[in-house]
Amino acid sequence: MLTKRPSPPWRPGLAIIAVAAVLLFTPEPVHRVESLGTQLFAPVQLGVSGAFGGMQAFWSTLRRVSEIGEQNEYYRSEIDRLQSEFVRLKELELENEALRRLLSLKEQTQPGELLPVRVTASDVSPLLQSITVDRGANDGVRKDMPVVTWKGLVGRVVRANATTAKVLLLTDVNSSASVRIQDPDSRATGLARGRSDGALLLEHVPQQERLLPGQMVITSGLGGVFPGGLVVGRIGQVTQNDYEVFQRANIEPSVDMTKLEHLYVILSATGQSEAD
Amino acid sequence: MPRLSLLAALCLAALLQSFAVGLVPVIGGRPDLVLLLVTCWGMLRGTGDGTFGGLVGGLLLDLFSGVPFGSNTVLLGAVGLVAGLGEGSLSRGNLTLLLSTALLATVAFHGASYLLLQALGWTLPGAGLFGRLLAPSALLNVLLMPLAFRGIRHLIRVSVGWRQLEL
Repeated sequence: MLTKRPSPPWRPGLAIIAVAAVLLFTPEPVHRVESLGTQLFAPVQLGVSGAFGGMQAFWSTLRRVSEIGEQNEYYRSEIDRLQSEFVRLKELELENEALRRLLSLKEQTQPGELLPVRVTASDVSPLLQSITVDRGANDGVRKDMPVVTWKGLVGRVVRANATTAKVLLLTDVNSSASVRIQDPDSRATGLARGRSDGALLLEHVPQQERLLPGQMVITSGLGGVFPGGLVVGRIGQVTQNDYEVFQRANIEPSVDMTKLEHLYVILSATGQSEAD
Repeated sequence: MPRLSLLAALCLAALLQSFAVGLVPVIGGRPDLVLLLVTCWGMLRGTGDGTFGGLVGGLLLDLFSGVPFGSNTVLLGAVGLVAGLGEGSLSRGNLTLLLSTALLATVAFHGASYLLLQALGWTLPGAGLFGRLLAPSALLNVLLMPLAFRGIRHLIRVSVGWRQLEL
């Protein structure tokens, strides 16, 4: 038999209202609790993350043994091709540098130092596409600093605690970046917005600009948050309506946001001076 | 003692939930493990314990989420309270009722979260996309509900003693 006397429902209801009031009217202690909690769980999260990552990698490898052999061949030939490309680009860089000096052009600001970080958790809410990384304000991470992988732009830091930081992914609806088409025929600029379904939407591109599926999209450096030249993705379907001023296009992100592991925070001057 | 066991279970569930994305490739999404545990806990323990479980579970979710701190705490506390209102009538192992509760709790929790964030001025996906994002989680929650219910019932029996809870 259940011997416990049921408590009247108004009492727990009152408790919820009291908690809501505390959270609403005492932001500073609440922030401290949050910071303490994230510090407490960070090592555990890192351990669980490592275990999950290992398991996923193991199963993934087993599933793709035959594929990996073919990929290996492909990558070898790709390395050869890229090495020759690298030599050519190096030459172009030197030439570019000489021309810049000649024209007394101001050197573009170099991207800041890269801080390697690891993903410790992804957001538990389906409404928000964000991740937690294992470095925070103690390592120089600040709000609004860009986060990248070698494939391209991932997002920006929205909250920096002492030992962890929350990163809002570029694919979240609250994210946007000023971008440019990397094409010799079109240097159109626009705004890339997250759609929360894994893709991005390119907006504010004038109708007269030439948008074609497959064109590379990079950050333009406008807006002050993301440095220019970071790869965002490739143009997908283009939507043009005669009655609209701008055209739109889908962007397929260069980074698979569901498989993030090792990332880099660009410790540039764009981040705010104080931890959030 | 049962509350301590619940706390441990909630910590584990919150950690798993923050990594479980993409682990079910066909369905996509992820199960709301903490929500399931809180709902079952409320159904078996009543409004007081349900609210306690909800507040603690919500606090843990807030640590792992980018939403305004405290929103999950309050909403999950309310879920625990409402689940606790059905103590006794819902906890007799009626499978249909159990699955419906899981679906209802998922829609209510995420729907309320959606409205709250919108009221706070957040940009959110449209209602259609929100439904598509929610559907896989709802399906996983319904599938896992019987397991979560048995797990919580076992936890209570072990920590309280078998004789005090005859289900």
